[in-house]
Amino acid sequence: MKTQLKKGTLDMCVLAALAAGDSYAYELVSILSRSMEVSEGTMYPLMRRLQAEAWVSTYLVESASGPSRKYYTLTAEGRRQLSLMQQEWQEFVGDVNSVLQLAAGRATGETA
Amino acid sequence: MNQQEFIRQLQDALARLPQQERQEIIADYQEYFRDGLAAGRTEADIAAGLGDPQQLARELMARHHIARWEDRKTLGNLFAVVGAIAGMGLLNFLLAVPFLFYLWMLTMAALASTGILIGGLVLFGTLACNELFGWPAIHESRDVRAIWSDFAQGGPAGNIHIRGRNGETVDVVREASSGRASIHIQSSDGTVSLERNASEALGRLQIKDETGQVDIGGLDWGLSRHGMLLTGLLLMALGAGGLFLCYLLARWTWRGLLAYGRYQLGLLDKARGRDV
Repeated sequence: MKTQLKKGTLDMCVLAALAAGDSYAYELVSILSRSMEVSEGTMYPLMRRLQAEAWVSTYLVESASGPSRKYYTLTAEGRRQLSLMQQEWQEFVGDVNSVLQLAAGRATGETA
Repeated sequence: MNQQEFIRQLQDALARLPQQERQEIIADYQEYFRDGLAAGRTEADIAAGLGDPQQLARELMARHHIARWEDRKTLGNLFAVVGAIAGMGLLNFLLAVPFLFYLWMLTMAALASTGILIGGLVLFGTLACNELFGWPAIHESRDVRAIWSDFAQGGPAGNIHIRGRNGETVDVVREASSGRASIHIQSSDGTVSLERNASEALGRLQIKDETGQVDIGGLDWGLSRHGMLLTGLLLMALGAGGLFLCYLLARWTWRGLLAYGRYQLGLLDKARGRDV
C-alpha cells in the first residue's frame, strides 16, 4: 500500500522540491530522503520522464573543480501541473481523513 | 561493483543508442557518482543504490524506441519497439514470433489493398480523362460483340469444316438453338479456340502450342463504359476499404502494444520501488 501510494506521489514530491529552487539529482535524492524513503535508482528514469512531459528542463552549471553539473528547473507547465496535483492530493487527504474520523467517532461511541 | 564497472556495463548495454543520448546518460550517472563520493560514500554503495545497470539500460532502450516510434511511425521503428520490449524479457520469444508474423501479414494486406486501389484509380482516371479530353481512346468491345452476333445469326447455314493437307483443321460450329458458337483452328504448331456463349459475349479463349497454353474462361468482353466505371469504382472502394481496415488494425495493434509496453515499464517501476 505504502509503495503504491509513494509511486503515485513521487512525481509531485520531486516537482514540489524543485518549486523551492533548482536542484541536481543527488541533491534531490537527499532532500526527499530526509522525509521519505527513495530509491536512488528511480531518480534518473523519473527525471527523464518529467523532462519528456516538459514539466522540467535542464541546464548545465560549470563548476570550478571538475565537469559541469546538470540542474533541473520547473517549467511553467510543470508549475501548473504541480498545483493541480497538490489540489487533488489535498482533496484526497481531506476525504480520507473525514472517513477515518467518522470511523473513529463510531468506535468511541460504541465503547462508551 | 565499482564506478568503472557500472559505467562500462551501462555503456555497453546502451551501445545502440545515438551517441549524444548515450553520452548524456553516462554523464548523468558519472555526476551522481561524483556527488556521492563527495558526500563520503563508497563507489560500491552508490552503485548498489542505483541498481542493475543492465536492467536500467533495457528500460532506457525501450523508452527510447517508443519515443522514436511516436516521433516517426515507420515499420522499422515498430519492430524496434517490439524487439526492445522482448529484450526486457517481458514479452517472451514464443509470443513475439507470431506477433511479428501478424505484423508482416498486415503489411502485405496493406500493400495488396494499395495495389487494388491504384488499379481502380487508373481505370477510373482513364475513363474520366477519356471523357474530358478524348484521350486515351477506349476500345469498347461492341465490335467484337457485333461480329459474334452476325456470325451466330447470319451467314451460310450449317457448320464449316476445312481440312488442310498437313493435318490443319478449321472448324466453325454453330448451335442455332442455344446461340452457342465456336471457332477451332488447329495446325501442327498449336491450336486456337474461341467460344461464344449464350449471352452473345466471348465466353472462352484458348491458345495452345508446344511451349504452353493460355486458357481464359468466363470472359465478358462486352465491357462497356458503364462496366468500366463500375469496375473502377468497385476496385477503388475495395482498395480503400481494405486500406482503412488495415489502418484500424494497425492503430488498434499499436495501442495494445503501447499499453502493454507501458504496463511492463510500470511493473519495472513497481519492482524497483520495492527494492528501496
